[in-house]
Amino acid sequence: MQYDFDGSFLFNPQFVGMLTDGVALTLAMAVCSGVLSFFLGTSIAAARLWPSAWVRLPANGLVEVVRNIPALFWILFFYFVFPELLPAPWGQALHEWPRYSFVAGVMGLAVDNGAYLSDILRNGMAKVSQGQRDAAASCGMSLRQEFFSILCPQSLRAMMPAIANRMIHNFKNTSLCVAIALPELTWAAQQIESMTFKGLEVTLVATLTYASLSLLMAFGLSFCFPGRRDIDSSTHGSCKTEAGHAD
Amino acid sequence: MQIDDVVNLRLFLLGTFPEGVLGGLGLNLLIASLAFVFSFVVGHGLALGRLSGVAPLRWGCSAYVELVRSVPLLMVLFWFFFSLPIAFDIRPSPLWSALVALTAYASAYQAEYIRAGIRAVAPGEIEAARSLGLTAAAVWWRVVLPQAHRKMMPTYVSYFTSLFKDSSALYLLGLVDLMQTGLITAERHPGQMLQVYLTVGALFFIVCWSGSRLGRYVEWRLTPESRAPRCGHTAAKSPPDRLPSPQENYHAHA
Repeated sequence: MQYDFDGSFLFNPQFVGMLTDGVALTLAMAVCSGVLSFFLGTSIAAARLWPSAWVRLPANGLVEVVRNIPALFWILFFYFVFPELLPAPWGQALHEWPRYSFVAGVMGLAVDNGAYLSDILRNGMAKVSQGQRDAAASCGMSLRQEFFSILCPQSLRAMMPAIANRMIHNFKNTSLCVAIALPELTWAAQQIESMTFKGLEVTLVATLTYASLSLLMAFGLSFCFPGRRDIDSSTHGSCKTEAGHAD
Repeated sequence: MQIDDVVNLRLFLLGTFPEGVLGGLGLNLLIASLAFVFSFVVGHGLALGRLSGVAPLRWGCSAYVELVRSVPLLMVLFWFFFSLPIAFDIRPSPLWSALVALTAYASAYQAEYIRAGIRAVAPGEIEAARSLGLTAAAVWWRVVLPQAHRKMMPTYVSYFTSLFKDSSALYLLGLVDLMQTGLITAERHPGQMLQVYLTVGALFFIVCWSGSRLGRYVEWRLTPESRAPRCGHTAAKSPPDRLPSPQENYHAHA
């Protein structure tokens, strides 16, 4: 092993700037796609519990399609194909919009994550007992009231560990946006590697950044929702919900 | 026909295989399957290491599993494609790098599934086996692992589909897999981009959907409760006539 390990070049302001910009963009993508996917997941979960099969079956089909195709595909799809599907002037405008790669990345991640979240939420809502729903109906609640005041709070609370796992997964998935040349952390690391040929140091820095951020998220969430990440809940609870459908 | 010209299905399925190298969907399937098998073996080592009484071994295995699980797949791929070959001055072919990297990545996840399965085996089983005079190896081979694997079988199956989907990221490192075949074709025929993407998506979907169906079938076979006769659709949805487990109770009242 004659590799000369020397990380001092990383203190070059140019590289520091690239890496910090990368981290900022990674976090921005994780937050934007996380929020968007949450709304997407909740509405799809609602559609999947809809009384009418005309709403329920297409929603189920959509989730099935999205979940069985890699996230990378969706990112590339929104980047390359989606503008082509729109009317020509709109597509042209999207092509010329400099921020479109960010938007496409966020949409791709949100669609993928939203499908998984809708699964988690629907499972959570199915676990809320029928008695609760009957009680809501007999109190004269509308379907909307039942959904927002009975189903959502209970299922969100019960499914918090699975949702948190999914959000951390989504954070890690932002690295796939390197495929559409979005300058996030993975892209920055690769770029610095190809500029300096010092792959070991940069990859180490990027790896430790990703690891510490996702461990920080995991600890933060287990602090906010204590007692949910112990080994027993991960063998029983999340095997059914999260591992059962292999994120 | 124009479509047949553009979407050469054989290229998408096998690459230029009999004449040239394997590519397309076949490459994804090959790498994912091999990595799955290898990581299942390595995952056993890591899971047993995490459960072992030797503290340094336990710490080492835990650190590896937690580290790999907390970074994106691409970071692991970068390590095995760029950093480690530079550090050790070796030049593996991309196929080998891909296989080793995906195995290293999947082992951490498999280890957690295996460990979860092992921990779900009732302690009484192990005590009973020991008191019958079984050797430590026999306790593992004949009592703990069969039950653990039976319990986790659906998870393994669905993890395979997940690994298969993850293998699409290998195109970023220059392997001509299904995704890369699609991108190259779309670049050459920009007019037929939608057809190309639909083909790629459909091929991914067929494999993963069959995988998840298989997972559900395995789960159905292995859980006798779910095979109990149902009266209409409501029976499946209404709460089962058993006492809720303490954990469900906890969530209900939390």
